[in-house]
Amino acid sequence: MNTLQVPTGRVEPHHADATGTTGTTDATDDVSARVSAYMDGALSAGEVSNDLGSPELSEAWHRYHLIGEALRAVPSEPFVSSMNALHASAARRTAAHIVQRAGGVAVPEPLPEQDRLPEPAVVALRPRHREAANDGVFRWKLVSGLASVVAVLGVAWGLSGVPGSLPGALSGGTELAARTTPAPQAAAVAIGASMLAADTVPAVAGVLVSTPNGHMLRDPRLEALMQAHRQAGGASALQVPTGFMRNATFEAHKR
Amino acid sequence: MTPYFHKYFCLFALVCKGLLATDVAIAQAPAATAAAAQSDGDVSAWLLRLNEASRNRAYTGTFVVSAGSVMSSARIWHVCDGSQQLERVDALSGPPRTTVRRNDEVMTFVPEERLTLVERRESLGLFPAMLHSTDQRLADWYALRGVGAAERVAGFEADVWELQPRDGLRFGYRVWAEKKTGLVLKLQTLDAQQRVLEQVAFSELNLDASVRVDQLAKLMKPRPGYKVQQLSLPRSTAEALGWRLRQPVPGYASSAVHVLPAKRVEPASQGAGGKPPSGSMQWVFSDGLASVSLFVEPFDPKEHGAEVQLSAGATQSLARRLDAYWLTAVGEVPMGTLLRFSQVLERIP
Repeated sequence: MNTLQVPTGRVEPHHADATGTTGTTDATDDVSARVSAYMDGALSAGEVSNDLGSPELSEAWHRYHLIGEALRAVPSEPFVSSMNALHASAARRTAAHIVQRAGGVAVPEPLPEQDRLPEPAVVALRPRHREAANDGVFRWKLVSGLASVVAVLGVAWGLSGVPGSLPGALSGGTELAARTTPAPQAAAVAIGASMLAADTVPAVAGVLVSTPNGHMLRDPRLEALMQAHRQAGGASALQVPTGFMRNATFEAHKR
Repeated sequence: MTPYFHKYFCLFALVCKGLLATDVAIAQAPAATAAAAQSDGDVSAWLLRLNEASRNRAYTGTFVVSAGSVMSSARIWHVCDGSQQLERVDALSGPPRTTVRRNDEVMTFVPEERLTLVERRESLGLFPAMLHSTDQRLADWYALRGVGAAERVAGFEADVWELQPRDGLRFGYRVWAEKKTGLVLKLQTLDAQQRVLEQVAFSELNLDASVRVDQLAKLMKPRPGYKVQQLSLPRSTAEALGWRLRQPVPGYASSAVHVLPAKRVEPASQGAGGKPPSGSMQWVFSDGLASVSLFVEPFDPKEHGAEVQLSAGATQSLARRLDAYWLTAVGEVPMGTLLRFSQVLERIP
C-alpha cells in the first residue's frame, strides 16, 4: 500500500524540538505519540478515546496530516484535516470489525469516501485491519474499502455450513446425525445485492439470490413450492396475525 | 392481565366445549377451565389471549419483515366487527400488491399484471380449533418464559416473552406483546444458537384507529379489468395418495393434504382426463406454531438434479430423491427436521 509514496509521513517534531526547546510538555508528547501510533494502526480506537476532545490531540492530528500532505504533495480532502476524520476513521474500523466478528450479520460497511459521521463512534474494540497512514489519499481509501468488502464476502461465503450442530436431543432412535445448519445470513455489501450461500447433502450447491425487493430463486419451481407452502401450510397459532402479514409481504405474485 | 382473566377463561370454555363436546363441561366451566389452564401450561391460554387481542381491535400501521439482510415493509389496516375480521395489506417494497382478507377468504390484487387471485386459506380461520385438530399440546413442545424488562416498540410498551423449543426439531420465538392489549408488536424466529432468523415488527402502529368495516369490505371484490384466478387445490388424504410416515416426527401432526396439479401433460394420462400423476401431493404438518410442507412428485431426470438444501430467513427447504419420486420439503423449522421427514416418508406398499 505504501509503494507510491515516501515512507509514511510520520515525523517526530517533538523529538526534533526536544533538543533545543522546552516548549512541549510530557503530556503533549504522550498524546502526539499516541496519535502517530494510531495513524499507523498500532493503537486501537479505544486507546485514543480518552484523548478525544483534548486540544493536544487535535493539534497533533492536524500537524501529522499537514506534514503528510506536504511530503506527498497531494492535496487531500478537506475533512481529513479535521477532527471528524479521526472519529470517522475510528468508526470505520469499528464497523469493519463488527462485520467481521459477527460473521457477516448485516451491518452496512460505509465506503470511506462517503464518510460523514456526525458523532464520535469510538468503542474499545481492537481492530483487525491496520489502516495505513496514507488514509488521506482517496485512491488508497477506495482500494482499502474494496479490500474490506472482499474480505467480508469471503467471510460470508466461508460461513456456509459452519456454525455448529443441532442439539442431539432427538428422540425416537433414528440414525439422524446432528447436522450443521447452514448460515442463513449474508453481509450487506456496498454492491447493493446480497448472497445467501447454501449447503448441500451431498453435492452441488443451489444458490438463493436475495435482492432488497424480495427473494429471487434461480429455481422458479422451488419458489412456486415455497409460495404454496405459505398459502396452504401456514397454520400457526402464533403467526395468524403476523404470519399472514409476512406471507402477504413476501409472496411472489406468480404461481 | 387481570382485566382479561374473565374474558379469556370464557374463551377457554368455548374451546373446551369443542374439545370435549359435552354439555357437562359447560356446566362446570369455571372450575374445569381453571384446572385445564393450569395443567395445560400457560402457553395455550397465553396464545389465545394474543390472538384475541389482534382479532378484536382495529388498528393501522406499518410493519417490516426482515430475514437476514432482506427487508420488506407493508401497510396494514385491520378491523373486526364482532362477526368478521377484515384486513388489508399493501406491500410497500417490491412490485405493488394489495391483499385483502375477510376471515379466511383472501383476494390479492396485482396491478402490474392486472390480476386478481382469489383463494380460501383455511389456516386463517382455524386458530382456536387448530389447537384441537393437531391433537397435541403446545406446552409439550414449547416452554413459555417471560424475559426481563419491558421494551418499547413502535411507541408502545411491550412485555417480552420467549417460546423456547423443548427439542431441536423446531425454532424458538421471541414475542413482544403490547402490555395492555397483548397485540404482537414484534416477533423474532430464533435458531438453536439464539440467532434471529426472521423478524416481523411494527415500525408504526395506530391502535384503535378509526378503520371502517365498510371501507374494507367494499374492496373484497374483483377489480374491473382484472383477470380473476381462483387458487384452490383439491384436498385428499395421504393414504388415498399412497403415502405414509414410517414413524411420526415428534410434535408434528398432519394437518392437510392437497393434490398438486400436474406440471405437464403426460402421454399416459392424456386419455384419463388429465389427472395428475399418481402420488403428487402437498402434505402439510404442523406443531401448532411451525409448519412443514412435503411436496412429492414423480422423479424426472430432466428437471430434478442434485439434492439441494436452501435457507431463506427462517424458511428451510430440502429437495432430494426418494426412489421414483422427488421430495421437496419446505418449512420454518430447522434443517434437521426436514431431513427427519425425508427419512421417514415412504410409499405405502
